[in-house]
Amino acid sequence: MSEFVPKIMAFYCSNCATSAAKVSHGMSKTMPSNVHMIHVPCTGRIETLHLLKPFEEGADGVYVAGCQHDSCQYIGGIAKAEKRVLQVKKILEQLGIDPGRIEVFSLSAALGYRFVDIAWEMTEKIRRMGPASMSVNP
Amino acid sequence: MIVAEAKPISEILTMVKGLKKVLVLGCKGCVTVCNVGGAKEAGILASSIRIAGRKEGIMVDVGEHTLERQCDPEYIEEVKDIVPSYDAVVSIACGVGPQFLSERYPGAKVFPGVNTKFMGGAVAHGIWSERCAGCGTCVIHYFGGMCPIARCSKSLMNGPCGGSSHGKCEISKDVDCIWDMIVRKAMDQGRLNDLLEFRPPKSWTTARDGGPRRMIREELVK
Amino acid sequence: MAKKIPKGSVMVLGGGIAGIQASLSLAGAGYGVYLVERSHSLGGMIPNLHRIYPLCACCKLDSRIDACNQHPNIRILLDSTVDEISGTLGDMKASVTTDGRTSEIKAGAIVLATGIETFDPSGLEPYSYGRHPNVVTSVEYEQMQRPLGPEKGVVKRPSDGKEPRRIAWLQCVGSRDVNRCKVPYCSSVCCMYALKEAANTRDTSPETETTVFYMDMRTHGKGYENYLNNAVSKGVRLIRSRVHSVNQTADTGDVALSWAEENGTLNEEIFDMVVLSVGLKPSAQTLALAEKIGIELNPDHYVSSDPFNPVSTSVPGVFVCGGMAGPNDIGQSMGQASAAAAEIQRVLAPAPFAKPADYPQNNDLKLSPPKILVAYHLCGGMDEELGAEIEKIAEGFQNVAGVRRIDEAAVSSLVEAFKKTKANRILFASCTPSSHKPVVEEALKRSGVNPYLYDTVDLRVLDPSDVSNQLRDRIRMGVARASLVSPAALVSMKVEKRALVVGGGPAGLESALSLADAGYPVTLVERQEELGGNARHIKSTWQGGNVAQYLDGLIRKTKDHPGITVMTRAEVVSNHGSCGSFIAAVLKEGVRSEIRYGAGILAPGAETIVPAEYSYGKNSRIYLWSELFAKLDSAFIGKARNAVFIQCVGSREPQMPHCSNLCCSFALRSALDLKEQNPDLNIYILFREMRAFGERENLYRAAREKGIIFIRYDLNSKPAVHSAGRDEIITVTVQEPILGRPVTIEADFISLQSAIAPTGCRETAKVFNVELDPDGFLAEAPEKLRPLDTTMKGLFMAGLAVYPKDITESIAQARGAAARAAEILAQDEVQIGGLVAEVNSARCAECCTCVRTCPFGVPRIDYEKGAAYIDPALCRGCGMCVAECPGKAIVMSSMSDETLNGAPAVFFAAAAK
Repeated sequence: MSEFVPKIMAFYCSNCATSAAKVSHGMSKTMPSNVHMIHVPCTGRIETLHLLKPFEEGADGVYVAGCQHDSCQYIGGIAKAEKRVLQVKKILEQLGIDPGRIEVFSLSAALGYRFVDIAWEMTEKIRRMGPASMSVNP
Repeated sequence: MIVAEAKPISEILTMVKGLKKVLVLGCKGCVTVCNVGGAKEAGILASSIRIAGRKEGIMVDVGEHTLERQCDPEYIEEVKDIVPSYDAVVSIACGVGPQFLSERYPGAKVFPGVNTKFMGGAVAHGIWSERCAGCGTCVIHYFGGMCPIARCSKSLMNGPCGGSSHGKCEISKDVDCIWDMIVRKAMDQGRLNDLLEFRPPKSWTTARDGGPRRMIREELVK
Repeated sequence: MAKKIPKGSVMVLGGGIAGIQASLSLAGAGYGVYLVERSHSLGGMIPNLHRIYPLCACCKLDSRIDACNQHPNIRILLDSTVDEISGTLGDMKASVTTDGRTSEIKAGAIVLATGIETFDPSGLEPYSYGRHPNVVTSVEYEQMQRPLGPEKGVVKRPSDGKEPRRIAWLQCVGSRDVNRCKVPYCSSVCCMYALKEAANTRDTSPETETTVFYMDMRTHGKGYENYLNNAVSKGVRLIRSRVHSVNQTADTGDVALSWAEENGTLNEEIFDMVVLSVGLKPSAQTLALAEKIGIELNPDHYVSSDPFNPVSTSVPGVFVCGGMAGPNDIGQSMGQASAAAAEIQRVLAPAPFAKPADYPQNNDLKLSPPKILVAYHLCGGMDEELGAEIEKIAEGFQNVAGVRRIDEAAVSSLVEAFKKTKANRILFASCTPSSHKPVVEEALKRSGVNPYLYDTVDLRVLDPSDVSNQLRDRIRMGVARASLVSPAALVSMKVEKRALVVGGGPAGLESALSLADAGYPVTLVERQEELGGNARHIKSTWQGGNVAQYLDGLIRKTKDHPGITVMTRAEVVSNHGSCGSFIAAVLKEGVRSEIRYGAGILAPGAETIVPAEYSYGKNSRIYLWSELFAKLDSAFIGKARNAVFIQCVGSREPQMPHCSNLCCSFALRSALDLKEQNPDLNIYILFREMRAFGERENLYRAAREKGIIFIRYDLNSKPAVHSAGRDEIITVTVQEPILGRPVTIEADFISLQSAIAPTGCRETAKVFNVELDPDGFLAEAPEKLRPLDTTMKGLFMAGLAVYPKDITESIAQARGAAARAAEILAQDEVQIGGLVAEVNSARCAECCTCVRTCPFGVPRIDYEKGAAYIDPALCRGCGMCVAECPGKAIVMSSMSDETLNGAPAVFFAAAAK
């Protein structure tokens, strides 16, 4: 059996997290191929449902990368995202799914290297957890 | 509005266990306003049920729909064509919704998706507080516009009990002692004497104690 | 009204933040701008820094650089120096050398924004810099802290590569040091940057001990005192002492510091590493140029300027901002840069390089089915083969109408490709989508279609070993997103070509005059009967400028200006509308009138508190600083023996944590003036920190030389003031820290430097719907690097309401704010809407969730419509209400639920194949 490669979806904000991406890029860091990224104007835009959908579609993990609390240009975006991630953790727990499969991170240009590092960390963490669900035969 | 809270998903999963086709039915009334039973929450619950199915290796077909209100038969009618095609309906309206659905669609399995809590309002975004017990005979004007029936832990009508301390109720420091508030307001308004007035005992026949209630307004009835 | 003024373009020397801001302000006002930068990139000092204080904004620098690069009225000359400037205002010539070739460029005016250099401590033997590997400068330290620096953000000490666990910062290296460095002034920024470096170090490695050795902790700017308190709470240790020597300890590489406590006790402590907080000095190269063209310099070698004309030089037509004007921080430099633009608008009419773009209307465009032009740009250092790969992959997707590489002339080639491929939307792939967004939007506008019909693909952090898969994944998502993009609702609004200025102090008056001189009619509203504000209580600036004379002239010019309508005893009672088109209701003596305006400047000022301590009000000779000179007569000064100044009265205490900034310089200036009048007068200044920042340090030195006595006190041992009655003798008792015992002074009079409180800001903020900062002053726009913008687009701020400061800085801010406002007033229309949230009334349950969720308070319930309403001119497009709406009644076309809910299926369905 080939080694399990987790399917991960990453939401990241167009502000701090994007400038973090610039730093990671400058450090020649590279993204793992199993992490699928989608950018949003602010992590406050991300809904509970948006975070559940990937699991519905077979994701093994999800994370949100936003700004630092003191530097969100929309004031409370990352705080909202954190609360919604927390809600999804509670839902996952009730569904018998490890709540550690979803996380939220605060980035900034200063923590730019983290943009790529968190992708690898999540990959490794979820790889150890194994697949989130059985494959479905419709 | 009627304030409700979502049932634990595990409880709903037990209800729909083994079913292949489930309809989550939201309501645009009170439960949307209190962020528990509107289109958004319907989406979240539906997704949760699908994920749970997927985990068991079952592809559960979960439909989502939100009615204008579930407390009026005309709106219940809206789903007449789709309800029969589902194994069950989870209504996330207040307790009225699933009952109206059960009555209209006697063949359908109808489950409640929320716990209906109380009549109240939002004191801040995400925080609701009880204001009315639906006793059927409103007396709040005697109490500075505050209802001791709904808001006193013991529904006391004649003043605070010994459990009132620093303005809080002994059951929890998060609960204000409504009698403390009533008395203070009366003092502020210089109307403390009003509270000393004798009033006849409250009739509870108009409340739940008088049995299930029904109201008829002749001028409206056809 | 308008006198004949010459017309011309402007040359800005220096591509740091000041030069960038000056160029953008000028180009915004319609000038063609040559931006000349010595190095091969724009940005100046900031790219070398690790974070910015008080709130990091370095990520916002790139967008400013992009804006310069993309502006049709800015020509950037990199690797270029200016060797000579000749001519007069309106007709100047600069000889510019680029790559060894010299050419002559004509410009109507010049802005010197060449910035600063940092002090080189090699010559200072006691600090062992250059001899001890573990003694580094603050600039070198920030290089180590930077994640993109050579150490990838891990601080390692040079001698052995170990992570240091005990780091010391030594302040005032190359500052406040006449004997060893010939630098008499304070560099003003080092206390803050040392705190920043130390606090950031504590954040990233909490086990590292950080110690800052300082003389006076000078955190005098907006929010700086909070920054200091925060650093202390993070465990940054502060020791008040100037370290006299740095010694190498045998073979370990550690550094031994010897220092004396205030009471004389000698200490020695071992550190792993020492950081020298090096001071600032004006750029040597420009100094040579300045001298050559005859610009007068002050004794500190900065460009000398009149306290009432802070950005003008002795040569007409040449203006100065940023580091050349004095040791300034980023915010001050940006304010001055805009002020320079305002000054130029007074004396030079704009000559643009390019005509404003003409946007056609393409009404024939059909949006369905989606036809996507995939365009890509390969930034420097990107593999050329990536292009071929992108083309191959993109062509394989449905809905893709064509794939094009975009290099030079990005906008026009995009327009052409868009037309040729008959596309109806664009997907743009590049390494920095955020910097290309304006290009794509401009291209779509020039194609006559909605500027938001596009999406982007980020080409960064691709894994070279799996490029095809990762690219395909990203382009697939991009194509899916672009296919779902719908045109955002846009409305054009005519700009009301009038400005509103609130406040009749120097800041309000200066900004009104600046705008009126630039040709925009202004209405100035002042609450009081008299114009002049707090400046009426001030005798002179810290530099010695005559304030009364200046203020008289300023008020007269304002009243006489045909373009300015002055309303005194008037108040703005309500304000609505948005950038470009506001309507304010003004109440003047019971009569209500309406003012329509396009941009506003809020300068409501601040007030000094009336202290309840130090026997104020109980003795006729105890004054507030604001009444000192009005109430003291010269006969009394002549015979007085002892005067006491008490600093920080009400400031920097828990209930009012900010520093009132101008009190230290006021005390120094006043003490020197009093000493002049009566040389026998003993003057005692009781202070907590002597914040004689920047060139004010010269006053501090002069005061000490004149025998003025400085006694430092702590918050827990404040001076005690006693007097038996209104006209009785006053005694002041204070703990003398060097003697270690209390001393008592019999004072003939006392000046209390009472705090400046933002009294009027709350009301102004409420009326204009702008935010306040934690200290209660007007808050800066959350977009960052906009020191003069309020949180409401189109409203700017200046003066004491922003934070306490001296008149010179208020003037610079006021003129700078005027230039920012002129950038809006120069346009004929503004576009509103776009990437905003919209309410679908039919689905709205009027539950108020959006009203309560919006961080900017934009949504409201429209009772007539029976639904929530989100003003597209005010919405910032964060999407928080869209996410929170329980009825799914709010939509955002740029970031729809369809896209977000559909994304996982797009990714994983493909991955499953």
